[in-house]
Amino acid sequence: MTTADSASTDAIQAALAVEHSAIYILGALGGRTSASSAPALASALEAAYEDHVNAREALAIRVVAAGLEPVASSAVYDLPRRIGSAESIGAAALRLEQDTTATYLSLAPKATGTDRILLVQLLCRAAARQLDLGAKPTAFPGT
Amino acid sequence: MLSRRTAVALAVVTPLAASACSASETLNPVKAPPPSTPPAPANPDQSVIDATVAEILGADEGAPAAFVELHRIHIEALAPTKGVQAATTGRWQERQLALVTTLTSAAGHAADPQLITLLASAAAAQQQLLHGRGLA
Repeated sequence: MTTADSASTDAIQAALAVEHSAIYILGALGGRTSASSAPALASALEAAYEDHVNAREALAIRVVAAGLEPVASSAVYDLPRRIGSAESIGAAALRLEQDTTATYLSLAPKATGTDRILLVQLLCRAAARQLDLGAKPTAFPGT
Repeated sequence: MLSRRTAVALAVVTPLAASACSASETLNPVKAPPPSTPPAPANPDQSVIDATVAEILGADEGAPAAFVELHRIHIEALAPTKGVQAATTGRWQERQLALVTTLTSAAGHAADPQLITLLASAAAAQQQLLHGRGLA
C-alpha cells in the first residue's frame, strides 16, 4: 500500500468513526423524541439515522476492501447536554449534521480516487439532512 | 551584491573586452536579449475547473433563481478561463442533478486541496437546494 493509499484509508476510517458516533447519538435523540407530538422531528431523526447506518456500511466495505479492519465503535459516546425538549433535540441533531458535514469536507482532500468521491457523496447527504432539521441552504456547506 | 569571485573575474575580463571592441569597429554590437516575462505557471486543475463551470452554466437555463444565484457564486469562486461555454442538455432538473455528479467527480479528480474543498462544498450546496425542493 502506498503512502497516498494509506492516507486515503485513514480518511475513510476517520469518517467511519464519525458515523459510529452519529449513529449512537441519533439513536439516543430519537429515543427521546415523541413521534406523536413531534412527528416531523421524529421522521427527520429516523431518516438521518438510516442514512448514517448506510454511510457506515459503505465506509466499512471500503476499509475491508483495502485489506484492513474497520475501526470499531466505542462503547459509549458523550451525549449533547440539555436535550429535554423537541426544540433542543432538533438543535442537537442539526449541530451533529453540521459537524458531520464539516468533518467530511476536511477529510475529502486527504482521500484519493473513489474514496474521495465517496466522502464527497456522504458530505452531500449530510448537507442535505441539515435542511430536514431546520437549516437554510448555504453556498458552501461545511466551511 | 557581487561575490568576490565574480567581481575578480569581471575585473579581468572587462579591459580585454573593451580593448577588443576598440580594435575592430566592424563587430556587431551585442544586443541585449528582449525583455520577457516568464509565463505564468499553468494550473493543472484548470481543465477540471473549466469543464465544471461549463456544466454549471449549462444548468442555468430554466432553473429557479435560487439555483442561478448559487451558480454565480460557485463560478466566481472557481475562477474559470474566460469564454467558457455552457454545456446544455435536458430539463433543468436533470441538468441540476447532473451538476452535483459533475462537481463530485471534479472534486475527485482535482489536485489542489483547496480546489477539492471548494468543489466538494459546492456539490453539497447544490444538493441542498435540490433536496429542499424534493428533487434529491
